[in-house]
Formats: sequence, structure tokens, C-alpha cells
Amino acid sequence: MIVFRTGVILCALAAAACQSNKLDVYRKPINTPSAALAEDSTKASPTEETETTESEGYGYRLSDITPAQRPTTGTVEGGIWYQADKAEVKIARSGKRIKDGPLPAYVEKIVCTLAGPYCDDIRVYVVRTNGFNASMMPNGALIVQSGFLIRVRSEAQLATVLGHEIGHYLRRHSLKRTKDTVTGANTAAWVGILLGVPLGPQVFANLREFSRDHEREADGYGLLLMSRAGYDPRQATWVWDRLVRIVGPEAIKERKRYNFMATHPTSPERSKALRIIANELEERGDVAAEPIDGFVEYQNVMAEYRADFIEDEIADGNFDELERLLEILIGDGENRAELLFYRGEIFRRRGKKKDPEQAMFAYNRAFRAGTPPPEIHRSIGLIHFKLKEFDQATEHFAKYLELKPDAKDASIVKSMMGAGT
Amino acid sequence: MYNSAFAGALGRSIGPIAIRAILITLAAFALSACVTTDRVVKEAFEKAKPPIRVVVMDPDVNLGELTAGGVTVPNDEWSLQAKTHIRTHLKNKMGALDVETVYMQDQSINDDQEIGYMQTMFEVVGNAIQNHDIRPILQLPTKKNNFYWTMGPTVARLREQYDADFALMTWVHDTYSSPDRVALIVVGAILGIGIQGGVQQGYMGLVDLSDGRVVWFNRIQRGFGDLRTAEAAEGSVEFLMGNFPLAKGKGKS
Repeated sequence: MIVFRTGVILCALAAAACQSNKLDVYRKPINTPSAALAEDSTKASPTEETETTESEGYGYRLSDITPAQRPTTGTVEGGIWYQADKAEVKIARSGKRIKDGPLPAYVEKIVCTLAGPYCDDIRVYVVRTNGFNASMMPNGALIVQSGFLIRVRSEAQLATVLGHEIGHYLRRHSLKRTKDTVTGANTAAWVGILLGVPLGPQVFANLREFSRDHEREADGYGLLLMSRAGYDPRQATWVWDRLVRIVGPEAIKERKRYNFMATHPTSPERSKALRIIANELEERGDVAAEPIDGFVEYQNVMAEYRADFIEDEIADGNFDELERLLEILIGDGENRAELLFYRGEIFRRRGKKKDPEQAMFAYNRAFRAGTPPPEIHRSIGLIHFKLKEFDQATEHFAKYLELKPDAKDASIVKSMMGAGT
Repeated sequence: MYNSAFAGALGRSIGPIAIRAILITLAAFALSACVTTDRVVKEAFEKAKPPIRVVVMDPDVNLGELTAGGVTVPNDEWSLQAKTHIRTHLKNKMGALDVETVYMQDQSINDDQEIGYMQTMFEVVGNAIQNHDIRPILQLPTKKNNFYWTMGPTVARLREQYDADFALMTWVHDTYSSPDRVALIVVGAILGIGIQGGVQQGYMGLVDLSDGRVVWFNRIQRGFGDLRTAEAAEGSVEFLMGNFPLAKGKGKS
């Protein structure tokens, strides 16, 4: 019994130690004393900068890279940037890149505010790609996916993720990761050839653990940069809570099972850690009295794009997640007519047994909520058409063409009118 | 390239390291079965009337160090050195032919997007030919004895811009063993385990700008020759241009 208890206590201690370790990684950018920075071995060149806030007197770890700094040619970092520069040209030319409308400039503006003196070093590319993701290339090219943009609620939540990505750049995580990978692979090769022990899986797991630590550190940067720019750092927690709701409990469970292989910490872990640190920031008086939320501004900018982005996700067929996402967006309270129309679209296109009824129910709610897009009449027409209710179908097709006379699919819709007569 | 991604609740699958390892293994297989890989569409050159004008795209050169564990670390200094050498030899070779040449510099982000697009597409098509036409292991059934690859009519933009009949594209990738890779190879040899060193891979292609079809393509794959030196770079360009179709045209006219 005693042995058993000791075991439990040891386990608990080990878990607690691990937990506090992780929190410290998140905290690293925010609360690292200057003395520790000098001994930091992760940097590639001696350009470490610290900045001390006037009143509190605690050190901010600002970055490993100075503004406008480029790596020396012939170094590992020089090679990585050479490749990144080439890849960036391709992204800039990509057909998926969004160049028109207010969105690119809006995201750039926020990046600039967050990045401060590094504003000119970071170039933003907004791309039409599904899924919650943004990524920072080693050379400062920041790719923001449309799938991420429709999943966050406000400017403050957008800033959370942008700040995180800027953190990767400032801490040169891609360089560190390259070095870790080379070292890990070398060790595995030598151990493999001399001892005949395959170390591959172990090295892989280690590299993933390093990767998760980079993400934790970048999360800390997100908090730091956003609170400096006047946003509420608690928004970071809300982003992860929101994502947990969007992906659903099953995906989270599955994800936890394979955690040792994952590049990123789990969303619940991030949510929890960031809540603790956001509270610490607030206790220090490091959060603006009236933080910027930017809900309305964000919704206004997104209004022009949202329908396209949702169409992209529907085309991917990830209906369950999209259903949960739309529920949340409808709950946010803006553009309800459009969102309810798309809720109906999910059911109509999924086409399971009870889906036509569910779709019609959502379309009706959309009409009650405001003015849905003209396509709603085409969709209602198609449901009637499938049920061989041709009169009602024709009526709605006509309404669609009346509201959208230059519709691209006008001739197809016309050919379906008057069927069954 | 997406080193510091911000994936959501679901993690990523295998990273670039694993892919690279697979590619290196494949390359090692392919190396053992090195054959002539020249592809040519003769009609395209028969119908071309002198003076023939060729736009030469800036060679795309990527050099790196192959570390003991098989990870390639890119090196910009070596890449630029090799690029300079290859560019020089290309100019020399082209200058000796009975064709007019115009050289196109690398397109940056702010240059003409449509021209830049051609450069990117050329690379994509070139890689597809290399992987799915020439390599027996990945060859597509529809491409067996049927060399038909095209960039489509969009190349008209290139034809107008440079008033050219053909576009020439060069892509070269090479890796050199790091000292610890060399040590590993030696130890491996003692123990009777074969370990691959760096591999030079490259290709060159000619596009008919009247219709976008790739009308000539050649590939190099060898485990020797240091492109950072002018001699080796010249050797590789010589090899790639060994059966250059426009050189034969000169003899006839």
C-alpha cells in the first residue's frame, strides 16, 4: 500500500514538474531576466536584445534578430533564407493569394503594430486555403490562411495568432529547428551504424518535443506583443477555447492520444497556460484599461470575403466541423442572414436523410434574420426540384435570376425552369 | 519550407525531413540505373526558320551540404557560386551556336507577374517530366513512348516579351557530403554498409513558344563533379547540352 502511494505521489510530482516546466516555456518571452539571456546558447549570432520596461523593471526578451538584419551568406541561416526567398516568390505569384479588397492591407496594418521596429521585415500573404493555420517562413514571409480568418472572432483574436507567428521570426525558430534536425539525424545515423540500434523514432519524438516548445514560446510572444499593442491577452485563451469547440471533442481526444508525435501542444493545454500568464500580465498592470476588441472592424473587413471562404470549406466536405463553426459565428451575432443561409447549404449539400428539411428550416431562419444572399432562392429551388415540386422550384429559380440577372449559371437555372409541365 | 507553422488542434503529418530521406533513397536507386535520358520532338526544329531566337532563363541552382544523418542543409554561397559558373558556360555555349539569344534575369516579386509565372510553371513542368517521364519507377503509363508535355498557350506572353521562338530553362541541384558524412561513409564501408554521398541532379528543357510544348529535355544525375568550381560546372553544362537540338540545326543550314 505504501509502495503504491509513493508511486502515486512520485507520478504526481513528476507531472507537476513537467507542468511547471511547460509554463516556463510559455513564460520565457515575457519574464526572462537579462542575465539569463547572455548564457542562452540557442542564438546563432550575438545579437540578443533585451528591453526593460520603465516601471516594472523586469526584462523582456525581445528577440534574437535585429530589425532589417539578414543572415550572412554561407551560414546555415543564409542557406535557409535563400530557399525561403525562392519559396516566397512562388507564394507571391500563387493564384490562391488574395490581393484585392481591404483584407491584405488590414492584416498588414495589425502585423505592423504588433511587430513595431520589425514591421518592414515581415511581409504578409493572405491565401485562400482551408483550415486553421498561419505560418511564418524563416525570412519573414507570413502566410495567413483564409480558414484561420473565418474561425476567429475579432481583430484581437487575429492579433493573438499574428503575434505568435512574429514570435517564431523574432526567435529564429526555423534555424533552431534545422540545427536540431541535423543533430538528431546525425546521432541516429552514428548510433545506428555503430551499435545497430535504430534511434529514428526516439529522435523523431525528441524533435517534436522541441517543436512543441517553440510553439509554447511563440504563444508567449503572442501574449506579449498583443498586450503591448493594446489588446486583451485573455483573448489568446478564448481563441483556443473557440478552436476546441470548433474541432469538436472527438478530434481533441484523438489528438491527445498522438500528442508525442504532434508539432504543436494541444489546444486545451495552450488555453490553460495562456490564461495563467494573461492573469499574471494583468496583475502587473501590463494590460490596457480598455483593451481593443475590434469585433466590428474585423467583421466589416471580412464581410466581403466570408461567403467565398465558407464556400471553400463546404467544397472540402468537412461538414461536421463547419456546422459547429457556423453555430459559433451565428452566435457572434453579425451577418446572421448570410450565415444561416450557409448553415442551410451544409445540410443541402451533405444530402443525408433529414437534411432537406433541416436546410429549409435554416433558410427560413435566414429570411427572418435579414436579407440572405440571392443564391438562397436557387438553393430552395433545387430542393423543390429534387422533390419534383416543379412549380415552387420554378418560382424560386425566377426569383434568383431576378435578384441576380448576370448570374454565371443563369442558363443552367433557366433550363431547369418549367420542368414537369 | 514552412518551418514554423501554426497548426491548430490537429498536428502535422511527416515533415520535410522524412520526405527528403525518401527522395534521397529514390535518387540512390535511380543512380544505379543511369541511361541516356534525352527527349526530343524533331518536328519542332524542322519547322523553325532561321534566324532562331532563344530566351535563356536564369538557371535555378540549389546547392547544399549532405549531413551524416541524411539531412540536406542548403547553402546560398555555394548556390550563387555555381549559378555564376553555369550562367557563364551557358552563355559561352549559346554564343557558339547559330542562334540569337536573349538572357532573362531572375524575376523578383515586384517584376512582371505573368513573366514570373512562366518561370515558376517551367520549373513545375520540368519536375513533372523528370519524375513522371524519365524515371522508370514513377513513369506514367500515358507517357510511355509519348513525350508530350506542354505549358499551354500562356507562353505567348513570353514570346511577345522577348520576340523569341524557344525558351531554355536550366535547373540544377547538388549536395556535398559534410565531413561527418564522409566519416560515416568510411565507417560504413569498413562494416560493409553502403552509404550514399552527395548527388548532382539537373535538367535542361527547351519550350516551343509558338504552342508551349516542351520540345527537348535532358537530364543529368551523377555522384561526382563539384559545381562550385568552374570546370565541373562546365562539364555539367556540356553534358546537358550534349545533344542540344539547335546545335544540329546549325550544321545543316
